[in-house]
Amino acid sequence: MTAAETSLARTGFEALWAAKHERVRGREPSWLLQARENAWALFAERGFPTRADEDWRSTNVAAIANTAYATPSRSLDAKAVQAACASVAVPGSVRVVLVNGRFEPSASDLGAPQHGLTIESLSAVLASGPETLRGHLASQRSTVNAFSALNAALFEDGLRLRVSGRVAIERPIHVIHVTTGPGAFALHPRLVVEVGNGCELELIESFVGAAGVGTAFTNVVQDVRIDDAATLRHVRIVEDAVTAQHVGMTRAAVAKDGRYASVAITRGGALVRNDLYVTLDAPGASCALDGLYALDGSQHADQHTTIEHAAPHCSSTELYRGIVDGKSRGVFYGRIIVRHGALKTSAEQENNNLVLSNEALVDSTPQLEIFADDVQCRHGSTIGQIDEAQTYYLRSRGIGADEARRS
Amino acid sequence: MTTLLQIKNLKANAAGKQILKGIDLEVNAGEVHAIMGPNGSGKSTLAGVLTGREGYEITDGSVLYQGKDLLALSPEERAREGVFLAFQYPVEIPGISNMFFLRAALNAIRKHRGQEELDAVDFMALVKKKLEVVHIKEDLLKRPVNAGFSGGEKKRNEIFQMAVLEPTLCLLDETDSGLDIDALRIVADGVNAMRSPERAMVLVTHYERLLEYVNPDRVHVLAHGRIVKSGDRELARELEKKGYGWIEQAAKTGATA
Repeated sequence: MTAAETSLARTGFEALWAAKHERVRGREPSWLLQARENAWALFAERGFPTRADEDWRSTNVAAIANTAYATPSRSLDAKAVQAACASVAVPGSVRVVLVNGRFEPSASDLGAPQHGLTIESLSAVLASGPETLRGHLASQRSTVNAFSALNAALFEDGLRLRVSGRVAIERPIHVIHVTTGPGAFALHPRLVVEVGNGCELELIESFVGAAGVGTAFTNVVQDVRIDDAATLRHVRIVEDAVTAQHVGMTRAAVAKDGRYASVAITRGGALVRNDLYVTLDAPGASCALDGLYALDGSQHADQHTTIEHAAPHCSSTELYRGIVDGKSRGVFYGRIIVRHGALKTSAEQENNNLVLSNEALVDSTPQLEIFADDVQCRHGSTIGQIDEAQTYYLRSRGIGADEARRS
Repeated sequence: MTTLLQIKNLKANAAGKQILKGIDLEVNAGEVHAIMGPNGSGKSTLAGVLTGREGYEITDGSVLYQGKDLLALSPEERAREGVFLAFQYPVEIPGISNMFFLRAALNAIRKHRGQEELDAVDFMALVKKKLEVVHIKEDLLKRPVNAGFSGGEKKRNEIFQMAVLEPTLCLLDETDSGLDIDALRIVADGVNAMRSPERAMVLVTHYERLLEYVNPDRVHVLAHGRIVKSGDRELARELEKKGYGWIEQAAKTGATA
C-alpha cells in the first residue's frame, strides 16, 4: 500500500469521525470526548498499518483500508437476526445479542437475574453513569494499534459485564454479535468485562453474519479485568460470513491468583486478525490460551497473542492449532514476555498446523523474551501435511476421503 | 452356503511389476481361510487390492463381494459394505483420539446401513463390552490412534476395531507377526469370538502358529502370485515341517495342485 492510498483510505473514516464528533460533543463527559479525540489523533497519525510494520508483516489490511464504509444499518431484519442467533445458540446460556454492534433487547434473553452479575449495554452506562467506565475508557490501555484507536474514537455501543460478591455465575453468558444489512459497513463494538475478587464467569462470544449480509467490518475491543482469585473462561468464536472482515483486540489483566482461560476459534470471515494481550500482574496469576483456526477458500486469519509475565510465580499455557485448506492462510504469532523479576515463571507455548492443500500457507512465529532468571519456558511449532498412509487407514475404516483429509 | 467373496483370475501390478498372476479364491459365509506363503509371494498385495489401497494396477480378473463388483468401490465404500482389513503395519495418526476415530468409523458404517448414528454415551457402552475381548485398557481409547502404541497394542487395537465395527468380511494381514505368545492368544481369542455363520475371515500369515489357535476351514498357499496349493488344516502343519521350498519349486515348474 502506498502512502497516498493510506491517506485516501483514511478520508472514508474521516467523514465518519466528523459525524461522530458532532454527535457526541456536549453529550458525553469531557474526559470521554478527550479520549476519543486522542484516539483519533493516534489513528490519523499512524494510518492503517502496512506490511512494513513488523506486527503486520503477514497480514495485508489493504482490503479494509481501501473500502469506503458506511455506518451500519439501524433497521432490523428480525427474522434473519433470529436465524443467525439460532445457528450458534448455546443451550442453557444467558443470551445477549448485539446487532451491528448495538445491544438488541428484543433478540436477547437475559432470563432471571443472577446474584452478583450485572449485564448492561455500554450506551446505557454512558447515559446513566459514565464515570464508572472512566478507568477503562480514559486509560487507553487497550489502544495499542490503529484499529483499537479507531474503535476508541468511534465506538457507539457494546456491553459491560460485571461480577462481584465472590460468586460463581452458573449460567454462561453468550454474547452473539450479529451483522446484518447490505453494502459495506463498519462497526466498533466494545466490551468491558470485570470479574471481581473470588468470582467466576464463563463468557462465550459468537460473531456471525445474518443471511444476505454485505461486507461487514467488525472492529471489536474487549477490556477484561480479572481480580484476585477470580476466574474468567472466555470463548470467542468467529463464524462471520465469508465476506466479513474482523479485527479484534482483547486486553486482559489478571490479578493475584486470578485465572484467564481463553478459547479462540476462527472458522469464518475473509480477513480476520485477532490480538490477544494478557498481562499476569501479580503472583499466582495464570492463563491458558487455546485456539483453533480452520480455514478454506481464500480466507486469511491472523492470531497474535502476547502473554506478559509481569510478576513472579505466574504460569501460562498456550496451545493453538490450525488447519488450512484451499488457498487460505493462517498466521500464528505468539509472544511471551517474562519481565525482569518475574522469577519462577512457568510458560508453555505450542502451535501445531496441518496444511491440507498445496496452495494453503501457514506462518508460525513463536517468540520468547525472557528478562528474568529462574524461569521455565518452553515453546514449539509444527507444520505438517497429512500423508497418504494415514488417509488410506481412515478410509479403510469407512471414513470418507474428504472427511479423512479433514479429520 | 452363501458365497461372500469370489476372486477370479485376479492379476495386478505394483510399480509396473506383475505381483498377482491370476488368483482364484472363493470364500463362503461362516468360513475361515488362511492364506500362507513365503515373503514376496503377493499376500499383502492381495489384501491391499481387496481393500482398495492406491498404487496397484489391476490388469485382469474380477472380485465379487456379496455379488457386487468390489473393485469398483472406493476404500470407504468397501468398509461401509462390511469389508475390514486388519493392517500388517497399523498407521499412527497423532491428533485424532482412538475413540473419536472409531466412533466416526462406526457411524459412517451405520449411516450407510440406514441405522441411527450413536452418540458418545451409547458408543461408550458398546465399546466397554468390546474392550474386554481384546484386553485393552480404557485409557488407550483416549490416546491418539496408534501413536506410541507397542507393536502388540497396535495389533490388538486392530482386532478391537474389528470387534466394534463387526464387519462381514475380515481380512487379517499378518496380524500375528511380531507378537509374543500372550498377545498372539489374545488376537486369536478375538478372532475366534467373532466367528459366526454370517461372517467370513481370511487370515494372511507367514507362520503356522496363529492357526494353532484359530482353526481354519481352508488353507491356501500363495507363491509367485498364484495360489499353488489348497487344503485343510493339515496343509499348514506340513508347511511348518517342510517349509515353503518344495511348494515354490512346484510353482516354478508350473505344476499346481
